[in-house]
Amino acid sequence: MNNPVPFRLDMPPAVTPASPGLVPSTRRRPRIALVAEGTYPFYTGGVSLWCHQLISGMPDHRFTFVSLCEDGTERSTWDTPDNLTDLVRIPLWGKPPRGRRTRGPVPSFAAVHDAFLRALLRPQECQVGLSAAATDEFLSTMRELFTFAQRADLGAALVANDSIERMLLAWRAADVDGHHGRLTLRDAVVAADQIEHLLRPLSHPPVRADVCHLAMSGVSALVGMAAKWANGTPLVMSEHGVYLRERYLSLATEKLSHPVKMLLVRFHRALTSAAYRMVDVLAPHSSYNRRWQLYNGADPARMRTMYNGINPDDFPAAATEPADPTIVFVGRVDPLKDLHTLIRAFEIVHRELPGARLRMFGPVPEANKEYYASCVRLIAELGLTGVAVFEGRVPRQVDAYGAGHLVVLTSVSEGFPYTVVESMSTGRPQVCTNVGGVSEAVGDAGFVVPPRDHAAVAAACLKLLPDDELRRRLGAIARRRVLDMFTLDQWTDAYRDIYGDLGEVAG
Amino acid sequence: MNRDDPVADLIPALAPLVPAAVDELHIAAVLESRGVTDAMARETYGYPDVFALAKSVSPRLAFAAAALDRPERKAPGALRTLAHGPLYALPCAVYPAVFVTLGAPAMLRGLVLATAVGWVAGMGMSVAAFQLLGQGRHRQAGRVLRLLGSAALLAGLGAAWLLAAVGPGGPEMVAFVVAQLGFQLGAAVLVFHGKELRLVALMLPACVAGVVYYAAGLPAELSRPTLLVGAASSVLVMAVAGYATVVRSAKPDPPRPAPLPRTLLATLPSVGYAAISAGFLLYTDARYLTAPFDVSIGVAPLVLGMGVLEWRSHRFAERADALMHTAGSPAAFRRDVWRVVLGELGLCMLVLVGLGTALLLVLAEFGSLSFEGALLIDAHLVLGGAYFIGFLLANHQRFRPLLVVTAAVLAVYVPLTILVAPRLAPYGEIPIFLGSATLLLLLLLTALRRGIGDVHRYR
Repeated sequence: MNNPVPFRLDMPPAVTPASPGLVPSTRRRPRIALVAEGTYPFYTGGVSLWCHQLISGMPDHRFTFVSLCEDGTERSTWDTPDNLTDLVRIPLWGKPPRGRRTRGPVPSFAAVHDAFLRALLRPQECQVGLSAAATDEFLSTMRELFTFAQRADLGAALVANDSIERMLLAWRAADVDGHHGRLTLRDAVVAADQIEHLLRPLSHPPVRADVCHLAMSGVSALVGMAAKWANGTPLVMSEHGVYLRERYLSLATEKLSHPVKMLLVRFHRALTSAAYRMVDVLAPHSSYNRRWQLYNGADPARMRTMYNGINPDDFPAAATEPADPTIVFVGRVDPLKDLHTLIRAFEIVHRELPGARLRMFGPVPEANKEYYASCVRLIAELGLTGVAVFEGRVPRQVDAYGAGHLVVLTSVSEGFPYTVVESMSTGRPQVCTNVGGVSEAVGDAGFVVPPRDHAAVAAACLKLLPDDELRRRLGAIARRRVLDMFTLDQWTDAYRDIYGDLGEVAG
Repeated sequence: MNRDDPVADLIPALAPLVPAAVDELHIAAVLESRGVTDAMARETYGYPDVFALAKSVSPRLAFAAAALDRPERKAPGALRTLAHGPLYALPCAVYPAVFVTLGAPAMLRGLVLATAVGWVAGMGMSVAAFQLLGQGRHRQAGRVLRLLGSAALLAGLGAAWLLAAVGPGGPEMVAFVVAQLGFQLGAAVLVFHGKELRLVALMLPACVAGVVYYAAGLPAELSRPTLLVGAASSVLVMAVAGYATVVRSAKPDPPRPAPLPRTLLATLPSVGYAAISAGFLLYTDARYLTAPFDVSIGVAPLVLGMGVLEWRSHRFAERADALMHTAGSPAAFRRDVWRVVLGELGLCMLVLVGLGTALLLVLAEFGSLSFEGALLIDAHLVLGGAYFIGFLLANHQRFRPLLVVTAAVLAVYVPLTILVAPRLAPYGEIPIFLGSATLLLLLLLTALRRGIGDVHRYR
């Protein structure tokens, strides 16, 4: 496991050399452009909380937040920290961008578009990410697209008949019909339209800052690339979950034809690999994420694992335990949390320990009402009504952790979840599924079991609930582990060092 | 566990989850979501990590043909769409009673007012509601339909009072405007919700009363009871339409409603087009409401055929969609889709001409056909063709050419009618109307041709 702090910048220069950029003066506070898609400051969630904590925790820095949003009409749901001085919205949907264009010769779109398509349709073994040369070629194509987007209408060019024709020809030339089916004219139009939306950040004026910090991979990377190409701004990228992995998993639910899915995923994969290659510092939030980044071409010399941190004073060790043996879940009601597995596991626990209770705290997002109803139905079917209970959002999350003997997380996908670290800070032992960076957070402070395995979850709970000594011991380990590895101060200091070192490099 | 080939055990569980893998990372992501870790990949399957395991699984996963099925588009039912034209003509059944009660001038003013407001407001309501529906805002769509419908009814009421204050008709004319406008707005809501049959059922009493009144020889003593039945039907349509907007969908709207000004702003092009179209048609037809029967009924084939125009515009979208799957290139698509446009326009004209010819034959049979009457029917048939092309342009959101062309033709037609028609009297407006409708059709066709082959419009 990588030691996340202290961080020293002993890395080779990024592939795209930094051009003379803004040099942070010693007398003024450095400006950081923090970039994220579909999160802060319009929505709640782990990444939003992380962004808010990062900005609030660094009053000695000024922040510009660049939000890749839906249509630009979103409203902020967070209190604005004093040092968050600018909010830049880049809508990916809604009306196409009509921004001010810069002067200069417009590169031939046909040639750059052709290169772009060839990069997406390379044979699997020499795809962007798996081959450094292919990644560099893709990056150079992206830079030309950026130049074009700054001087002409990239959106219109991407969906024009000539471009669609090029896509069809490139597909036929790649000879992938056998594996992915035929790309119809309609498929080509749908794929071009989707890519047009994803590339919209390239048409936006590049952000100006001392450091550009990408809170995730994906299309946020385009904002960073544009800043680096235009102003030589150094880049740091954090990854909570693995954006690319989530794109693959969401494929199944999307109503798109297979060739379109293939083109979009190839685009995301190429973009991710290009971004990994271009950033000056890559900060996975767990070693689990690191594996995906390395596989997609990230340079280990420029990587530092940075675990999320919390303020342990906000989550002090719980002094007491409830009277009845109680299992607690804290998080939003969401299929990714796989609450069906939790409820089925609890049914086994309840059979063994009839006095046991399951208390589930957290909001039900509008989109997940149906899933919530299915959980309530399952509780009724299993005869658990009254003992397995949804309690909604709790004003102080620390109270929810204190309401149980142990905390369970049965997710099928996670990054490095705050709820695990927070509940560990209160001294509660953990029963979690082995997804994302969860096992790195839990360490030996609980049990990590396979996802979707309700019997394993139940077995771990049944081991902990009757054994006071085991719970106390694991709870103490959990608290100690948080204090040693996952505090907010350690985390903000580490990022402060990165910003400082990158500023010096840029200077 | 198959000790010789442990990966074989993975395939049956993985196949339904990955019916068509994009690449090895796709399989790796799914493997991990099923709990397979690097440690398991090493210890159970003998590969260094999940990625290597995924790579070895990839060629063994059969490609499920079903995964290549493309999402299908559902078009509205043909019969339902065909009914839309005649549905809006249902209140005609009680017009004789209105005529007897109000007299020609008052009825004419009221009808023009109600039809114009209803046409424009109905278009705005439908466009706003469809827009919100597209965003998954079913409940807000219902609220907006109620809000805009009520606002339009109040506006119609106010305008009718003003009209009654400065001309003939009095309160009866105001009541007629409210009933007619209420029907149009209610019908727009019921059609939006696909409740055409309910609309017919609600209007049945008015139609029966109107037919009985006509069959009885338009007796003065029956005109008010007939109107009362008509008004009752209209009130029922409004009430049922209002109830239909209260959506009890299990699926909630997104958390934040769409801003109303933004929603209304987006309807402006459609509303503008509806206003110009209403102006074009009513400027001609309103003046002939009290003319001899063959002239006053000249608009009938167009009204009856409107459903056909709407239906064929849907069919055009379906046929173009099919071409998007079969055409080998944008150039081939451009060529073929233009042929489809001409074919569909020809079919629309054929149906309209059929309806017009039937009317001409009936009028000729009864000795009521004049040259002017026949010419006016022909002009409406040509206008029907223009409306069909207008549907296609509007469906592609090409409002700029649509608005420019229709407004330009209206700007030529109205002054020309004022200046030239008196010299060609009587009915000097009719040849100018025919010429303008022809010009409108040709210009709209030209505008359509310019962008019909742009494949991005069919996404």
